[in-house]
Amino acid sequence: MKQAQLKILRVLLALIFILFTVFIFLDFREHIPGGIHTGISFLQFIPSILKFFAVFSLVSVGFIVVIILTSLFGRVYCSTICPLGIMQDFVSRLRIKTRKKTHRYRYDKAKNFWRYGFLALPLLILVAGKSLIGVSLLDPYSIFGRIFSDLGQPVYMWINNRLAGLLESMNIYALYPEDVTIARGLGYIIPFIMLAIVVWFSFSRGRLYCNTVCPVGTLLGLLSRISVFRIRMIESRCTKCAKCVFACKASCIDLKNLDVDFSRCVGCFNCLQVCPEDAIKYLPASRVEPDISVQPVQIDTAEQERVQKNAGRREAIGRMFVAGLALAGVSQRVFSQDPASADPVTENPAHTPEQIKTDTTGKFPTNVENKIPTEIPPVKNFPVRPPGSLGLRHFNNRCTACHLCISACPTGVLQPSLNEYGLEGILQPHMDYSSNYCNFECVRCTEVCPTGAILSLTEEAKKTTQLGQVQLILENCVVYAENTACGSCSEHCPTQAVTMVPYRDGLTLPEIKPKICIGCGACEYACPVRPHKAIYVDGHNIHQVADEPEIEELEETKMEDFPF
Amino acid sequence: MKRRDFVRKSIGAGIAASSVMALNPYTKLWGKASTLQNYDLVAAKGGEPGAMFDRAIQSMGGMEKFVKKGQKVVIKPNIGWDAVPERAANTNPQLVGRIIEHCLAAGAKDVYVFDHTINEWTRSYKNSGIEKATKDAGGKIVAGNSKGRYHQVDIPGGKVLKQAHVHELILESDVFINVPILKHHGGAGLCVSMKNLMGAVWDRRYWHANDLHQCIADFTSAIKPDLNVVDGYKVLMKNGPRGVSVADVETRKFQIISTDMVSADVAATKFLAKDPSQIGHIRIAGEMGLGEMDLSELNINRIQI
Repeated sequence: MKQAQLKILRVLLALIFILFTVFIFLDFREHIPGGIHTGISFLQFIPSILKFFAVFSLVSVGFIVVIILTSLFGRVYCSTICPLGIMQDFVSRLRIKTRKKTHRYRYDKAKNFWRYGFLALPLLILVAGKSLIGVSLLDPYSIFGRIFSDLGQPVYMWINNRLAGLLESMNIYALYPEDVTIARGLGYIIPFIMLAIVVWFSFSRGRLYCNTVCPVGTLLGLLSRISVFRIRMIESRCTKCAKCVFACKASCIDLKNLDVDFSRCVGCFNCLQVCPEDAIKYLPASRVEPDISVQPVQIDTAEQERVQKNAGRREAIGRMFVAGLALAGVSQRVFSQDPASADPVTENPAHTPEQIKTDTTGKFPTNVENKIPTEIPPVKNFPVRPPGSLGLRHFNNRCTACHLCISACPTGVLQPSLNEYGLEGILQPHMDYSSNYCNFECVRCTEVCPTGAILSLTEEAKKTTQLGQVQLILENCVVYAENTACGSCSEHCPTQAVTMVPYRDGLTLPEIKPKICIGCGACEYACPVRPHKAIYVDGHNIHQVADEPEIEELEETKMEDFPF
Repeated sequence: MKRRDFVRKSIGAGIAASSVMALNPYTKLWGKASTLQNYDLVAAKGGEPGAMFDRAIQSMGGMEKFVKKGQKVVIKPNIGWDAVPERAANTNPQLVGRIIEHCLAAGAKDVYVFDHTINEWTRSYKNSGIEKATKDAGGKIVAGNSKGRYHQVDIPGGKVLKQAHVHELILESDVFINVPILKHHGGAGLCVSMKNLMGAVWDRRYWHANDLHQCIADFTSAIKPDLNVVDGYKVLMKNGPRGVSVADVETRKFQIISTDMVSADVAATKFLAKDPSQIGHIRIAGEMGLGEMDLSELNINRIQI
């Protein structure tokens, strides 16, 4: 195969990767079976590392594959596997197609301060601040996920609804409308800002984002400095036509010195394709170029730059050292975790009950429908997390807020958090029982999580996984306060941890059995009183196992004839 | 020949035959074959859901008494829960399918099936078996989850509930068939015909917050199904309306059909050996004159299979 054809292969692979990745974030109707998600996200670098330390299994060695690939061929990950990178290529292409004038990229120096800064920052936050927030905000896969889950999915639903409406008017009921809920304004700002930044960068400067901001790009860039094969220029063939420079989205081909800054090369292979002389191609890094004896034209400048480069290299090595330290810190931190044995009280000092007590006062200020507004606010000690997320610390330390579970959740109970986990957990999903409740028979979120923040659960295990326990404020209950029938909480309860017991005047009153409660939130969601609900779930710091509901045999009703 | 076509044709043939017998003065030759008494309520017992419906609807005068050629029919079963048919939380899919076949055989243009489910709707539709039964029978399954499909309706006779948002299929269709499953209900006592209509409205929460029983009865004063078919094949005896496991279910094999929701609900209550006047919304609806509570006033056909 001629190396120029590598580009075709790269584009095909990239299209396959991005199509699947986009679709898992858009799909709201469970078209994709749950098990496939983890296959699609297998090679995503950051999620794969996190999952590896969560489960220690072969299903999460994707990042090792990426490391091997990179140490062989450089950052091919960035143009083939990374969805954010491929998305930028679409934007760049859009620019090229919409302008009449031929678009030309130019060589540019590496922005070392920024790129190593953005690599060091999340690691420092991780080590010093003990928070994943920096990684979450900068991981390209998670940025892409949030854009397509939070902003893309509502658009996709809207298109679905227009189509469904059109078909319905023709009396075809093949598609069903879905209510597009844009629940929390602030939660959409971060993905929107990131989308704007990434689009702006790629529209104006090709892959500048990947070589300035993206820590994964920079990290793999460090690795590609020592890769086995590199894209190099063959001096004897090169006519300095500069076609490769104009085509280079990473602006990393230095024609003056006939040098490719391979740490910034994203492996798009545009240069291989455009070179008319076959003068730029993958060559073993060790091979001494045949024409090395031919001196560059301007020795002085070359010498100067070489000195500069050495300085840059020293800087890079220094930063690598910091990064290495940080990584060691991460692994130590992750290895030392054992969520099951952690002490529920002292586990996370940042989340003492006082600090994250959710004050729901004024949460439902409008539309008070019950005659007597309720007065006692619920006291929630811990936010409720999805089943399979074990302990609060396990979850907070592994979730990069890619929002795949939010996209996949069929009920919409999973919502991005704002202050539920504090600032360092912003955008991580939580169970929002004002939006909906967790479907008893569903384990969808546990099947899709790429980072291991939500571990997979069987349907049977999920049905006894206690996310929190039911709490009843009888004074708020409409039956108690207004002497009218209701039973909405018990009606929704899948385990009958809330049952209706005889009260007075033929009325029934809710009674709770917290031991068999799984904390699905159905009662809280269904409770009709406002502004404060009469029944709610208080989350556990660490998920517990609920008792199974007692099964009593029915007494057979004997009835021979018609009773009327 | 597809099963569906076969059933449709054989039902058609049966209807034709019985019509001939009914119109023919020599009908008496076949003994007591005349089925066209004007029954207010028909109760069937001891058969499969589809077979009981065949007999019951025939004795009511056949489906063509309710559905005319070219009409649009909406069927509102209970599909509230993500539960398999054995759990008896949702209407029996076989019954829903058979009703659709009868409607199409009577010449219905389209038969729509929907419910405003309580659990996630795609899973409820699928796992209840009703989505498949509907499609197999030739009906159209419609989502009930979109607020935009519900329109405000005034309830002039309502004491508490003055208006409600009702699904457009209920409002637009020529024929409305209500197909509840009888079951225990923690809040409302029992869930039968009247309670089943809560799945036809959008804003249920208001009902729960404002005297549930009165609201259920109020709604009945404005929206009246053309036919009610109460599924009593498998009955959730406790932990209703959702149920916890199959241990809550008893196989009772009966069915009640009537145009009067109150009568149907009273009859169903008696099948469970309960006192209808103890079920708030049934008692209130009776007092409001929305239907007949005294079954001795009715012309009832009892069919034992």
